[in-house]
Amino acid sequence: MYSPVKIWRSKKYKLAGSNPGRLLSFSIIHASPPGFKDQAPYSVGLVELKNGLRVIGQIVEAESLKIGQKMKAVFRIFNPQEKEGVIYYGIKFKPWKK
Amino acid sequence: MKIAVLGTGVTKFGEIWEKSLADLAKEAARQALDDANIEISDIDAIFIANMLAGEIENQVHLGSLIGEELGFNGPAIRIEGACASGGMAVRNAVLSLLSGEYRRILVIGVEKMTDYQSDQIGEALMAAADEEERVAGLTFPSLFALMAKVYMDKYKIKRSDLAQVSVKNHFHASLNPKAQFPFQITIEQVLQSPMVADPLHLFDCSPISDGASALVLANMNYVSQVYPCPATIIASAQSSDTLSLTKRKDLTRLISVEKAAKKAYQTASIGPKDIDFVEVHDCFTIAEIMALEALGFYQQGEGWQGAVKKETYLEGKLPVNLSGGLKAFGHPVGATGVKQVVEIADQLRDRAGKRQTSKARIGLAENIGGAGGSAVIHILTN
Amino acid sequence: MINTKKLNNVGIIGWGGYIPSFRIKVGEIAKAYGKNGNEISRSLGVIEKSVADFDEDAVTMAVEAAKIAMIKTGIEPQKIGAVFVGSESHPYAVKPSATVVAEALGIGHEYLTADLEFACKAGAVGIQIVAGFLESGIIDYGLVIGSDKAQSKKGDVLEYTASSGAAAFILGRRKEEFLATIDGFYSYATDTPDFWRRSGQDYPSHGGRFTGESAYFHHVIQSTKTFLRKFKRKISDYDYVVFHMPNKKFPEKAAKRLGVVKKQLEPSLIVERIGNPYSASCLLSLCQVLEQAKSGQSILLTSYGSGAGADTFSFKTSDLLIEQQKSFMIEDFIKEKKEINYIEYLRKLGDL
Repeated sequence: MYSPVKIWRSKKYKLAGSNPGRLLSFSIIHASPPGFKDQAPYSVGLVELKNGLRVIGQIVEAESLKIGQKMKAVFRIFNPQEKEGVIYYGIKFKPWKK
Repeated sequence: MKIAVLGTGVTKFGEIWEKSLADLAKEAARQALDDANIEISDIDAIFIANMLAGEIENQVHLGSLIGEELGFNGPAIRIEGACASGGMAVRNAVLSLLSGEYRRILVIGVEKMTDYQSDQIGEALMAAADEEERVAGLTFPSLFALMAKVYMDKYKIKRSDLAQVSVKNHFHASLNPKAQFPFQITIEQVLQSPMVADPLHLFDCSPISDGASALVLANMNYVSQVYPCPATIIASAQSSDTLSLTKRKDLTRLISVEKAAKKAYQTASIGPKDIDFVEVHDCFTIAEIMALEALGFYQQGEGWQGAVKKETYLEGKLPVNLSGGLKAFGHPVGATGVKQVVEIADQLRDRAGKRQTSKARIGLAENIGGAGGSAVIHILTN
Repeated sequence: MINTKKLNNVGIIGWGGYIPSFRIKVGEIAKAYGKNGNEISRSLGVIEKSVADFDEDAVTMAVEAAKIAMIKTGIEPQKIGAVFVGSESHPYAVKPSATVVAEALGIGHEYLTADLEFACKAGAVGIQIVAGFLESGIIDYGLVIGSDKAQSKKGDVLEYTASSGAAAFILGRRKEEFLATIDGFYSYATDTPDFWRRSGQDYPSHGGRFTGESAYFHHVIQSTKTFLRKFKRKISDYDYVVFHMPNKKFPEKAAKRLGVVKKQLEPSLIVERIGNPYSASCLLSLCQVLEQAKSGQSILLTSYGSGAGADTFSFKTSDLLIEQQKSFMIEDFIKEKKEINYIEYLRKLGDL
C-alpha cells in the first residue's frame, strides 16, 4: 500500500504540453514484481516529452514498438491491483495515432 | 597508494539453504583470517558490505551482529551502495588504512537472498533504483534491457552477441569449484531460456545467490610477514552517475565507471593497456560489454567483440571474469565487490587453480551499484 | 414543481469524449455461455461494446474526456468554477472523483463540487446544476462529466451491453462563445426500483422486464412530453433527438411512441457499436450529434436514470459549432478499436 502522503506529494499528472513524446527505449517485462503479476507481460519505456522532460513509465495498448516512435501520455491507475489504499493516478504512455 | 592483501576468503556461492547470513559471513571471515595467519584480535575494525538484509529480513546494524558472530567488539560498520556495497567496503577500508587510524581491517561482503521468493527479491533489489521506476513496475533486468535496446539499436548487434558473454563466463566458472553454476552453456541455451525483460533472457541475467567473501587488508607499515608474491592494492576510486535513467545523457555508457577508471589509472600511473586481467560487474550481459568500453579496453560500441572474438577468454589477450563473473559464479549482491578483489588477489598469488591466468601481474576489479549509479574500481598488483 | 424557465445565459462552449480502445462482440460473450450470439445481438440491437483497460476507471476516462474538451476550447483551467462528475462507478465510496479530475486538469482550488449519482442520468444532471449557477451568474464556466466503467454480473443480460466511456462538457454564460445554447430543461422523477446496486455489492441487480414500461419508457416519455407541453414545442421542431440508450431497441421504441422519425434519431445511436456506458451514454451520443450538426439546428435530449428519473434538454446550435467539429472526434474513438475475446475481457476486468 502506497503512503497516501507520498501519493499526494508526487502528483505526477502535471504534464501539459507533453505530447507527442518520443520513445527512447522500451522493454517487455515478463518476470514482474509481486504487485504486477496480473498485468505481466507488460511494456515499459523511456519517453522524452515534447517539453524535453524524460519519463519512465508503462506503455499500454502497445502493439509493435520501435525506438523513435511517437508516444501519447494517458491518465491511468498505477496500482490497479490495490483494493484498500489510495488510488495512485498518473501518466502512462500509448502509441501516438494520427 | 599501497595496501596489502594479507588474506582472502570466499564461500561457495549458490542456494545455501542451511546457512544464515551470519554463518556465511563467519565462514568467509575465518578463511581470510586463516589465510592471513592472524587472529580476530589482530583486527582493528570490521567493515561489512550488504545491501538487502534491512529490506528483506528487517535486520540492519550488521556491524554489531557480525562482530558478535566473530567474537569481535572493536569498530564495526555496515556499508551500503546497492550492488557496489562490496567495492565500497573495500575502498573505505583502504581509506581508513591510509589514514593510519587502523592497521588491519577485515572486510566481509555477505548476502542472503534465497530465504524469500525470487519476485520478492526482485522487488527488494529495486530499492537500488528510482521511485518512478518502481511505481511503473520496472525490475533490474528491465532497466538494463532499456540500455541494451538502445545499445543494440545503435551498434547493430544481435542477442547472440550478448549471449556470448554468458557463455564465456560459464566456461570460466566450469573451472571454479566454488561457483554457483560450475558448468558450460551454449548460445542456444541462452537464447532459448525464458525471456525476462526483452531482449534479456534468463541466462543473460546473473542469478539470485547466497554467499560471502572476505579480505584482510593492512597498512603496509603493519605487514609483519613477507609473502613470496604479496598482492597489494595500488589504486582505489569511486564515482557516481544519476540514479534515474531518465537523467542519463547516454544510455549506452556507464559514466560512473568511466570517471572512476580515470581516477584509478591516474593513481596507479598506468593505462588500460597495462591491465592484464579484469573482474567486471556482469549483472547482465550488456553490463559487461558496457564496462569494458567504460574501462577503456574497447572503443564505444565495440565491447561486445571481447567475448565474440574470444579475446576475453582465459587464453585471450585480456581475460575477463576468470571467476565466472556474476552470471556463473553467482551474485550475492553485497559479497560481489569483495569477491572480485579476492579473485584478483588470488590470481596474483597464483592460487587460482584451473582458471589461473599466466599473465597475472596487474588486475582490475570493477563493481557497480544499481544501473550504474555508483561505481568502484580497484587495481591490484603482485 | 419546476418552473418553465427559458435559459438566457447558458450554453455549451466545448465538449470532449473518450471511449476505450477495446471491444468485445456480443457474440463473443454469448459463446462463453453457450448462447446464440446472433439472436441476442439482434434482439438488443447491439453488435459490440467498449471495454476499459485494467488500469482505467471512471476517473481516468473522465480526465481523458475533459482534457479533450479543454484542449478544443482553449480555456484557462482556473476559470472553471464548478466541476461535476456523474457516475455509477465512482472509484471511491467516500472521496470525490471530481477533485482528482480537477487537480489533473489544473483547475486550481477555487471551484464548487460534489460527486453525482443517479444511475445513467448522473452526468446529465450535472448540466442542470451548472446551468443554474451560470444563469444566476455564480460562476462563468462549469465542467460537467458523465463517466462509467459499467459493471454487470457474469452471465446476466446486462453483460452484453454494460460498457465504458466518458463525455465532458464545458458550459459558459457568454453568448459569443456558445457552440450551442441550452434553452431549457425539465425533469421527472419517481421512486421506482427498476435497477439498483447496494452499497458494498460489486454488481447491480434489476427487475428484468420491469425495467421497460414502468421504468425507462414511462419516465422518458413523460419527461419529453411534459417538456414539449410546458415549453410549447413540437417533437417535429427538432432536427435531432437523443435518448439514453440501454440498447438500441428501447430508444427506437420510445421514439416511435413520441412521433420521432428515423432521421432524427439515427445519428445518435452509437449504442450499436459501443454498448451502454451508463452515465456517459446520452452524453456521448450528444457529442456524436454535435459533431454532425450544422448551425441553427435544434437538438432534444432526454436522459434516463434508473431509480428512476428522466430529464429533457433543448439545445440550439450556433455558427461557432463548426470550429470544434474537426478534431478528437467521437467517430474516431469508435473506429479506433481492438477486438478482444472473453478471456482477455476477464483479464481486463481484473477477474483472471
